[in-house]
Amino acid sequence: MIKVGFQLVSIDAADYKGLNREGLGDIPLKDGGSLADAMNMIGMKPELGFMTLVNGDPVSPENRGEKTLNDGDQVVVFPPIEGG
Amino acid sequence: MGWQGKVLRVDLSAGTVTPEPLNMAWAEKYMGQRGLGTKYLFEEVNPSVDPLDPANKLIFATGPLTATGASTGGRYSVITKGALTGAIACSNSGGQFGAYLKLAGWDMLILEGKAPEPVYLYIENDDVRILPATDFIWGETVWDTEDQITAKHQNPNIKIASIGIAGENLCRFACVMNDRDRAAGRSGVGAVMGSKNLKAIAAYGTVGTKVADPERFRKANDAARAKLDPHAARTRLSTIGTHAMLDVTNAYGSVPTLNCRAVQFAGTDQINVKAAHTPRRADGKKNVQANKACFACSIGCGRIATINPEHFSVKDKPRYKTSLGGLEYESIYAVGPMCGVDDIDAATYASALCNEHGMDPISFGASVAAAMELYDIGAITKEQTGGMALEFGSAEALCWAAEVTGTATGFGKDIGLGAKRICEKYGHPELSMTVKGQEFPGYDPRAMQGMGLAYATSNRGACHLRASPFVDDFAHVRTEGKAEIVKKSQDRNAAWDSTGVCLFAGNAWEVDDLVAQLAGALPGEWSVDRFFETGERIWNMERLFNLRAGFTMADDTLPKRVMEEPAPSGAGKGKVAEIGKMLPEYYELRGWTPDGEPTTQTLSRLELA
Repeated sequence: MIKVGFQLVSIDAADYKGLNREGLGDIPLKDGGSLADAMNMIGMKPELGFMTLVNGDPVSPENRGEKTLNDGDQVVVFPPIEGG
Repeated sequence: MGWQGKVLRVDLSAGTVTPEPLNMAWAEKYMGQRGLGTKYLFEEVNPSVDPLDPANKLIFATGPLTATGASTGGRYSVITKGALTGAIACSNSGGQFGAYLKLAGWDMLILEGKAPEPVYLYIENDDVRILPATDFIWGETVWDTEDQITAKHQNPNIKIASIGIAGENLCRFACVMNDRDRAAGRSGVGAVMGSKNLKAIAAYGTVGTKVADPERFRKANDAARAKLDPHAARTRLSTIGTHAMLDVTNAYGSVPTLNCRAVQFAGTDQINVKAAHTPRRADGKKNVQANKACFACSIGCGRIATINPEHFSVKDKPRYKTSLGGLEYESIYAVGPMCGVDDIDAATYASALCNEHGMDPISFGASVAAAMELYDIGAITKEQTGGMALEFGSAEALCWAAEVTGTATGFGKDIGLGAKRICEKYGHPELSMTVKGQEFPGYDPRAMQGMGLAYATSNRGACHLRASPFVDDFAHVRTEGKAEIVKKSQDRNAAWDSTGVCLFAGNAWEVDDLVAQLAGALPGEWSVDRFFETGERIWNMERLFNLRAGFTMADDTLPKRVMEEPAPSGAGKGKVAEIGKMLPEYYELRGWTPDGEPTTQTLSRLELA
């Protein structure tokens, strides 16, 4: 079992499991688990249009199932905001 | 039928106002607002004219969906040759003014020449008058101008577009402001208005609007509204606003920081959405008080804010201890990370002064950042600033800069030149984070390669609204595929900006949803293909204007810093903006020569030959 750090940016954490009000938390994950598995653990559908970073590097939606996470990896999730 | 069919031509030199029919053949090919206004400018103005010469024209154009009841359909654009860039300028604004101009019966105003003395234009349906502004509103702020015109004409429903003191003094990034804190913000359209001695346009209308097929339009509008209102993007824009982008770009490593020396800002937590929504110790109030919507808008992305009454910027200034227009992403990026300032009250004050004096906060903040770097390397000293330590991170310096630039006082006149000109003046043109003379918005092109291409090829200079590469840029730090995304979204946005509807509705709508509304409002048939072709035609016409103004492919580039200095952190760490890898494919997709000029075949296909 490993643990990965989660941070939700500009997303309401109340909609998801295992994270505090700030959208932060450590999520347990089976060895060899993927980013998609980790997103499922907090109740977030990987196919949703959120953008993801693992240790600062973007992971596109189509690669989330293949992206294997390691103990201590940091995942950041943010919405696909446009404009501003 | 969507259009009112009327143009108001105002010769400020002669003091005449002349109604004329809208050129319907052009309207069918360019729709309205950005497209149609640019067509008129393209036909009537020599592109080589000095932007501040009376021979330049200033066009206020509404869209065919403006004031029809279409969701977010209250937009207008100001089209001219930009004072900041010397390129085609088209700045889009919301609020209420554009809708009231259309409701007064006018699709477009064409302002020509230069008034011998300062004036303002009063429009109440067909009653149009050029009235004196001297000893009345000339020299006044935007806010006082609006209050005084409203009081004089005894009509609280009158809507006003005006310039502030910055525009009167030809600040190169002066805006046209309306409804206190809405702005046709970019490229210095307010300086062109100032050069014409035109202080304000007041509009009130009761003519109404018509659509071609009311039942078809109503159904399309209802369907679009039903899609927009429950959409997560609408909720996000309504509740946390565009300000939320700051946490995103900071996490991603694409928030321009310290004049693009960095791409992430350590002080983000002090100025982000959470900070804006946290009660202050001083008075228990939050920075953000409420949100605010434009005409016919159910999004309400605008913010209403207050400044800590004990903050140094507003001490002994009761004028600012009230509700003000609040921070949006572009304003907070520019007066925050770009200048290294992590003081949310100073940022709100500087942003409010941009509204009050009529300055584009993006260009203002980025110009201050450039000046701060010039100060940092010793190219500017206290001798030039009059004693102010113009240091990165100084909230005091930021607030001072907003005051002196807005009122064109002392060193503020230098800041008012814009980043390109001030960096040239002090011997370091390489420190200007601009494209075609216009300052960067809040996206660093090293992590966001598509945005880099969008900046480099934007017809009005660096701009985040001319293309929409956001989603792919946040998913991939790469150059592959960006040319097609940028080209297609440029065409989409050019057409969208010609309808009278806000680009933000596009967070929820597909192009089909907008086309269905156009098809109900306008005569003839509208399809997605026609929509994109119209956008492509507009884009190429803007390009032709710039080529004739003297721009070349050499201007389709980015500052040396982002092309040679790798991003120090974030998703783009170690990368530079690679325009050279994307530009040839972009030109090819556009049907342009390798030198960036539209081919004869392309012009013929788009009926521009």
